[in-house]
Amino acid sequence: VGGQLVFLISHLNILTVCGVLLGGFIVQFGYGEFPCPLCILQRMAMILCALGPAYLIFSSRDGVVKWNDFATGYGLTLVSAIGGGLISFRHILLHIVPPDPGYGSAVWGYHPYTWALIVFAMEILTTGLLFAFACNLEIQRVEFGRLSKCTVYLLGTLIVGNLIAVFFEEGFHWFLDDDPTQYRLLWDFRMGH
Amino acid sequence: LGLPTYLKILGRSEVPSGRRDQKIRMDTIIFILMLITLIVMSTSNKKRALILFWISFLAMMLLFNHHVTAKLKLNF
Repeated sequence: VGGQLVFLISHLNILTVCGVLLGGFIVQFGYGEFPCPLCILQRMAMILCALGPAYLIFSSRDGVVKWNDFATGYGLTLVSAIGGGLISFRHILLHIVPPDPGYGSAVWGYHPYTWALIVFAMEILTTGLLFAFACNLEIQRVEFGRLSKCTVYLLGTLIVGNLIAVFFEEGFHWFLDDDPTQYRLLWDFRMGH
Repeated sequence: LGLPTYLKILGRSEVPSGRRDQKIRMDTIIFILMLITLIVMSTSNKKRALILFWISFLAMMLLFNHHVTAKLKLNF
């Protein structure tokens, strides 16, 4: 596997995670649904998964993808994907007993937490394949250009978006409600005045 | 064995319900940590970025540990 291919896959990895996070926003704001604590935890795990490739992209700004940066970056992704998979699995088990309709709306037949498990499984699979074929990582020149900047800026924007969304949902409280039904910050603000 | 028995074995008297009224926001803090991690990564300080990453990951797993025992109010 060449360094350029690893560099390209890292961008695709981040963009895929960003797409899934945007899908979460569509479900939250488009369908007016409130993400539960486990949904928020899965978003966190996805962002942590994307931070691995981001680490590799930032480390390759000198023009070369190094083996140690590749191993560190995708090691972070692997650990985060396993953690996220555990969270998704727990979420699925919560709703597995019939006639539980599941939490939130189904998207193309699956609930968001099931899609999240598929995303984490794909992250693990991708990382495994990259590790398997990158034992002799070819040194090739890569360019940290406009595409790389746009990709990491998009990730940063989505982290900020999630930060704001969860702050509105959580309000001035230590933890989210198990079954949230409102944006507690707005509710707290109204109660305080 | 019911849940109270398991909790007794684990040394807990009840399911942890959280400290819901403190003026600190756990989920928000973790997202802030992740944002700082990305910013530190962009400054090429790898060691600090990795430390921040692992703190974020640990915080996320601790938060999961808090929510993993959450009861579900099923109402069909």
